[in-house]
Amino acid sequence: MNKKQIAITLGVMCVLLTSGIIVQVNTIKKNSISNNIKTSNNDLRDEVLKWKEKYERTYLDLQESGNRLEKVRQEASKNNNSFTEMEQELKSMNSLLGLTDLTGEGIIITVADNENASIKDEDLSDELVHNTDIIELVNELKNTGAEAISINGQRVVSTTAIDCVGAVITVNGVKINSPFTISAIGNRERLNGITRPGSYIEIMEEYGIVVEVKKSAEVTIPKYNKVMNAKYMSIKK
Amino acid sequence: MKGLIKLIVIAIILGCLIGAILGINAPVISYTYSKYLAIAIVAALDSIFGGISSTLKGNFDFKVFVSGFFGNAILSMLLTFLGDKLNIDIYLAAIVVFVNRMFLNLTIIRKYYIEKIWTKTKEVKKID
Repeated sequence: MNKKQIAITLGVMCVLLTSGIIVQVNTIKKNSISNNIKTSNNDLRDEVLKWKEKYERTYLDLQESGNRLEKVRQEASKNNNSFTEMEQELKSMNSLLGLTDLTGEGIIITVADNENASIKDEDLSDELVHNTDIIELVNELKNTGAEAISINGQRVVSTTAIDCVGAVITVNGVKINSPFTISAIGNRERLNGITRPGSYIEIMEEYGIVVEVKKSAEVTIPKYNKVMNAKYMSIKK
Repeated sequence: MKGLIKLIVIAIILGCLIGAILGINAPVISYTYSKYLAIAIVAALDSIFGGISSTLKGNFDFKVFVSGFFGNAILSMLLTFLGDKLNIDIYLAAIVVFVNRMFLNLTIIRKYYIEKIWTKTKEVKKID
């Protein structure tokens, strides 16, 4: 065994070792939520991180599969005119259902809890945004002709529930909290009608909730990011 | 022997530097597998110390060293995996063995240098 060979082997091993250590340190650094959590919670944290990772991976897979389906569909309908028409119809149906990202003119409403609210106030609850407020606003938006609505990035579809769970609100089962951003696509001027005198927004403002309404030429609304299942219903003949 | 040690020190420092640069640029691995990488790191560390001490003793064997480096890492990762499945922390046993051996090897390295320095000072005294 000559000297050079020994040195080179040890050197190469050190390359592997140090790169491994640094990758490991980076991984731990990226994933540590807080150093103050008790060690008994570590297992739970590990579990949560693992599930989160799994969920993200599966969601990516789902998206990829969706893209592939789209491609196959396009290729299939390329040569046939009637298929192209059906494709168009399918697309418009999907956007109505909430399965595509949309953009268009509309308004953006921001609703937030009153930051100056304190426990000493007569009725603290009035100064906070509740799920009923959000439901009311969504209802008014629908009345004024909104074509698509999202709340903090959660698309409002036919199965959407806006619920109150303690200190937060859930939309589509996802927890969201103040400030709430409600985006709606539709005729700007008509949608702006929800700020009319005597509207629900005015009532909310009277109670001390912070509301801001902004007209915009380009509102983007994300698609519904969950899977729609229909288990019990069937088409009536 | 002296030239060899100098060469080894240079190789280790160079290796660590290149490894650090590679590691910084490498992508972060998934948290699920970080446990396995950690145990592999400990195994590799043990192999490096073993390599240095065997070089000092003069019985460094390329085949033994490389097979130990990869074999120990893979075996300990498999043990960790098995422990995960059986819900027992087998990797702790692997860590104990590796760290124990690391200390033994460190002792060999330490003794070698202590003796060397000791004999040197004695020689200097004799000349005086």
